[in-house]
Amino acid sequence: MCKRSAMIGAIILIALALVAPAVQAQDYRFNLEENRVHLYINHDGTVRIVYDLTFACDRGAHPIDVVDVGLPNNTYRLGEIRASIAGVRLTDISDSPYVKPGVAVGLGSHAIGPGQTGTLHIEAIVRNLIYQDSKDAEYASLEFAPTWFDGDFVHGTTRLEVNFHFPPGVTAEEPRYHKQEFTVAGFEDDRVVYTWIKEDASGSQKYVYGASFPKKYLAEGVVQKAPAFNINLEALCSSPICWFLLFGGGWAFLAIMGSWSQKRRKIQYLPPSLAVEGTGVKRGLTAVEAAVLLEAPLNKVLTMILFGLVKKGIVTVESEKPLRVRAVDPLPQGIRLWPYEHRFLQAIGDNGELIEGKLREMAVDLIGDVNKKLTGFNRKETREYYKDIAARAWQQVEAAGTPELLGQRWGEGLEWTMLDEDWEGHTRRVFHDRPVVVPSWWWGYRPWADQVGPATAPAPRPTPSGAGVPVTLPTLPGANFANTVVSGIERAANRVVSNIESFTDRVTQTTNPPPKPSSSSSRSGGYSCACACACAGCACACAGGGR
Amino acid sequence: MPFLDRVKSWFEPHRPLAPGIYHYQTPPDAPQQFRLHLRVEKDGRGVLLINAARVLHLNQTATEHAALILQGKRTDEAVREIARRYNVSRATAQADFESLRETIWQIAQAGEEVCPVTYLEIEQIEPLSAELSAPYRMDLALTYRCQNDCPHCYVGRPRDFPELSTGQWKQVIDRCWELGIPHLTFTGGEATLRPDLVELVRYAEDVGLVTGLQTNGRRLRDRAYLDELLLAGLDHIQITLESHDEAVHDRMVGVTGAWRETVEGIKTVVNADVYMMTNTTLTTANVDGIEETIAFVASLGVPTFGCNSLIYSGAAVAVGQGIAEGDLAPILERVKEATARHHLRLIWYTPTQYCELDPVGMELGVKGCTAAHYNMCVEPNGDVIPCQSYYVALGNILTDPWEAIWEHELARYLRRRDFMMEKCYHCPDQILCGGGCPLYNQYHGGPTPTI
Repeated sequence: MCKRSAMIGAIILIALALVAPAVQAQDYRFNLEENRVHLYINHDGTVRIVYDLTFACDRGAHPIDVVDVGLPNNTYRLGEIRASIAGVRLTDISDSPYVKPGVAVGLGSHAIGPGQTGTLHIEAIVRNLIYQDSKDAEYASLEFAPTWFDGDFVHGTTRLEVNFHFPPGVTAEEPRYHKQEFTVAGFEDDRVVYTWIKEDASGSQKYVYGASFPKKYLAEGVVQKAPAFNINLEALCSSPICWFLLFGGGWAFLAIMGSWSQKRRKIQYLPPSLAVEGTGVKRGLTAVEAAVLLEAPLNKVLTMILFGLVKKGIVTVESEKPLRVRAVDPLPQGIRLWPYEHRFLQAIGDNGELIEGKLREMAVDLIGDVNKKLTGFNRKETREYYKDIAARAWQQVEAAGTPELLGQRWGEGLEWTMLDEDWEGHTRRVFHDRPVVVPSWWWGYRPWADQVGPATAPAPRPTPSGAGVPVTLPTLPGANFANTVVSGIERAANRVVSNIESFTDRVTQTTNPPPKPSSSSSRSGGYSCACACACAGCACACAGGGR
Repeated sequence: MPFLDRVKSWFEPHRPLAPGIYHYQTPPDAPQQFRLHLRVEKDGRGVLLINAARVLHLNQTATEHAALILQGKRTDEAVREIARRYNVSRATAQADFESLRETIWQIAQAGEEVCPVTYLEIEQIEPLSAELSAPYRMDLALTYRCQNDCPHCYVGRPRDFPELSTGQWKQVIDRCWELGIPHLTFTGGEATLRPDLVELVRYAEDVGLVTGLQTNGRRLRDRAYLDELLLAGLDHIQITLESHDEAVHDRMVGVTGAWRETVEGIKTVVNADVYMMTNTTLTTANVDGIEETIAFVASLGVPTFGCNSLIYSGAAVAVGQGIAEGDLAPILERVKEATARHHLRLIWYTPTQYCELDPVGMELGVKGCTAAHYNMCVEPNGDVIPCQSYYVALGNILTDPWEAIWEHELARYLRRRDFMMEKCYHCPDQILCGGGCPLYNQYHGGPTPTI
């Protein structure tokens, strides 16, 4: 009897243990203030889904750094997904490991911090979403449930707005809603729009909306046929009913409950994340410094410095082969030179040729300075920022409406446009069918050169800004000028150092040496330094100092 | 574990890691030395400190992985543990564990040359935005006694302030460790006047803490004494030097002959195997010769030059030698140029209003008040104050619950930046700037907490 009671007791205990409630991780906690979605139903059967999800992260909660958004099916393509927050494009988009089908959008440095609110904008294109209407052979049907979130993370009420934009051509009286009548109907961009609004929705609940419309507004063959049986095998296999049917009896029930409760006891797993305090984009770099950041070839960097000095009227190029330059002496007043420009001038030998050893030292210092300036800033975002600046510099040039403006803008933005990896091709394309008034400083680069093409005036001599007599600058066919510019700068880049590979190697041996083992005493942890970390936000601001 | 408790544990759901601290130190023969401290917060998130200088914020899952990494668990052991407690496949757990371990090791081994934000594309968060349960560093003001008598001294207490015993200081050290504070600095007054300093350093190091010393350096000219401190495990030293000019320094510290002893102390420390730096308070008394001071510091072999503006506390309030924030920029440009010329690392300490002096724009780093947030101070009697210069006690570390101290109204006032000037309320740079130093603001007519 005792033995039997003990066994029964053990079984009960085991059964109870299997159904013990779980604690869910409370890492994330937020209110989904608004879930607004637009569905654009297209003629080709695709549906463009546009979400604007407004999250309010709870104080004391984990910042919202990744959002998993459910999508109706797997027909989306990651490359077509667009996401942004506060107007900043997000690129960390992948298939969600937790919401299937769905995507995970990493917010990166735009994570919504505790106490903050942010709106995530996502666009996706899905296919095979439109089915044959079951009641009218001439109609197609679309049902959609906006994405929702785990009740352990989201709380409060949500303003839910769902908009169906029917295909172009659908008239106002043709669509038919399913079950739930729309809140308002209207037109937008000549399309009928049905809008459902629920002010007190729950962010963790599934709401389904549907409508039908004439399928004549869709391309042939895009309407999906409804399956004879709508069986969700995955759900079925994880359903207790399936197991019960297979195994029968109370043991199946215990197995089900055991599996469920084991899972419930475990903590919700989110991808591990690390974060460092930092300050985003490093602004204020010069074009040359940006080129270093973008890892432009060193000969290009040196050429940019050379042309910067030519533009400032500090240097003229006396010959191309070999490359010989001459600096004005004394330096004109009122012109600011960057440290690397000073070092470049110091690298000009007595015969006008550039001393490679000094150029190498300049390059090493320049790279070191750029790295120091970037400490605490996001290198990736900063690179994107300067690539964007280079693109805008080209836009400025391309938008120039007159030959004078074209030459002026090209000259002003030269170093920035040179950040473009396809600078040569871009230059030829911009100039090929446009006349250009060549900026005066260009002759500082090639003062010995013959006229490139038909000109309206003799070539002017370069003069420092503010000095000299105004001259009429020649207008040249853009294609000729482009060829001269591209080939000229290419030649300069090829001749600024004798062998760019060995020059680069010797620079990087200094800037990127192999790590040296650190020394340490037998007891101390070696390197540590209260108040010695100058990184952004480190735990030492205003500490230790002040004696 | 009693049987009943064991049975109960079968019913209990898995919970995140309990709050606490994990510590890892590389073996003495490792080619690269570093120390890791992982503090687990109440909600399971973590803060990983590398060499007590670099801070990584971890979510709950990363904290769990990091704890296993710091405990030296093998991959299979770690995966088993993670899969047991979390709803995750073993494959995912393994991939995440290996990836995180590699990242942490990479950051730890790379040292300060590699900024994780800049180079490793680690996620970033706003500076000073992390919610913590305790500071990263506790300054232990062992005594307010001092051989010097600086007219600008910020210490706002009498020199005969009551002092804890050695045993009590050890309790303080234990308490700091329990709170997950991985880093202590011994300060004062002048900490080297305490005969038990070596013992306390050794005790703290044995517990697992990183230790530093802020000193006038006079006693460190005694190599034998310095060696005792280093053998006890002291990790870093900061010595105050106000000027290259003996007369200026002695005037600023109020003692004739102090400069010679301090310089001897600097030379002795430079020759020892320990991280060291000097610090200079920029005032009207020494700023004219700052380039020469920097050159002098470099000539002594010091690798890092630290400086700060006057701290408006104690005697400094009335000394009349402070430099207004708006006048600091050209001075700091000179300091930057001089330190660059002498290949010194520069650390600027003082949080300022960015509209007056923008340290980010000047490439000095983000500087904001970290009092009662990233650092706090224990006074000689065990009272906890928001920082070394803010003389309002929040409670006693030995007798009061930590939550009461950390959540003291003044502590929250400082973390909320309620000391901001009115002009800051609508400033777009408010979050990054933080409103400057509350003591500076108070002195210049800004808010004073009514607590």
